[in-house]
Amino acid sequence: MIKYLSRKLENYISPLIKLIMAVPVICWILFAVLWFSAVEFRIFFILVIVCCPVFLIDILDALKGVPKDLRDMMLSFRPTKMQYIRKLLLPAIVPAVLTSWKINLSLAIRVVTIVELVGAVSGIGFALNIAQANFSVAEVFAWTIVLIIILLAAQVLVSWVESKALRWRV
Amino acid sequence: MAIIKVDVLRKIYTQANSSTKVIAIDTLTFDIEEHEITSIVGQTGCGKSTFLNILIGLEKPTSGKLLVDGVAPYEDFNSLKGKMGIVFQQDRLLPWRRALDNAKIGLEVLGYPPEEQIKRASKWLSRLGLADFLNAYPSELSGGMRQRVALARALCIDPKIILLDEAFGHLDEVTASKLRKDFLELVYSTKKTAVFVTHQLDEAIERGDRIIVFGKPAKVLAEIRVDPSIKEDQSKIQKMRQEIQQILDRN
Repeated sequence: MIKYLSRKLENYISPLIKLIMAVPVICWILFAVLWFSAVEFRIFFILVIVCCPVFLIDILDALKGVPKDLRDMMLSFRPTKMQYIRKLLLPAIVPAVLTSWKINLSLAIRVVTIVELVGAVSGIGFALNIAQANFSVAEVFAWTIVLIIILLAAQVLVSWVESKALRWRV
Repeated sequence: MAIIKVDVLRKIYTQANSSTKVIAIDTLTFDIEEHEITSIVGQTGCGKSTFLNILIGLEKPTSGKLLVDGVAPYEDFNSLKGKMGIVFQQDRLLPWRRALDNAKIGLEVLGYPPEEQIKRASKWLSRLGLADFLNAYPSELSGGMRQRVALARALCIDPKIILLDEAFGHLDEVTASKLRKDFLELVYSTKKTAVFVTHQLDEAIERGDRIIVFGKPAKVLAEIRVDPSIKEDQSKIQKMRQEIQQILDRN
């Protein structure tokens, strides 16, 4: 939002986002393992670093996509900046935010699993690591099914929110 | 007393891809009196909508002066809060808001209490024949109904000046004619200053107290006062239509 409102800030942030996205996820995971000792913090760091740029780009595109017609209509009432954001921009980007959530959910679950696999002593990723060490195909399958169920449940939740928030989309 | 004063107004655009300059408004000088209904006619692309955008304060003139109620709309943007309402060519309703919520958006911006917002918006929507559609989303309404909501949105805030940018141009003739009639009744009964922009000459003659004919690029070719008596006489309307058409053709 801030990025959108300030072109100058955008010029600073855009190269940073591009740089973050250019670094492979596995490198970020290794950095997290090397830099942070707390497992939860490693996961949090990776989630932020992997998901935030995608969110930012989606939201920025959605903001840019708000039709000029609607912007002009809103401006004709001479709203304050906050009213303009609250009554026009925020509702206008809800569909894009929800779509971004759907995409990021699966990305986040995959990334967290890899982080747990590489640098954690608990969690599904860690359990998968143990299963692999024990050559237990059944366990790998079982944990994979658990991951799929978690993802599907999360997507059902987002879809439910979407159906409530986007009732106007007939 | 003139409520809108336009003095040697010019608007020149520089095209984004090249440094070519495009004159949208050549030179405009005229006044619009309070409570007057003024029709602005001209060919498509002659700068009528640009003029309205400057009038509402969305665009800055390149040179010259435009004052609304003594205030420059672009420079003193907030001074005219609540004083002007505009109905655009397209309804421009917010798709996520129901008809009632769309109609009251101006009142929300102006900070009216919620009960007052609902009361006023419902009143205007009902007056425009949409009492049964207060909770409908724009996607559930027909083109004519949507334009009525847009009309209610502009009138809700009780503006001193109301602007219409070919507001009924894309509707079918039956709906447009009914809306025009309803709107004129509302403007007369509420004693507002109205500026209609249109390229339909009959519409301009039937609606306006005065017609300002724009050339291309926008400059005043003629200012014609419409005698109310001729509005009932089709032959006189036809004659005036021909006169205006000749002015436009000469340009």
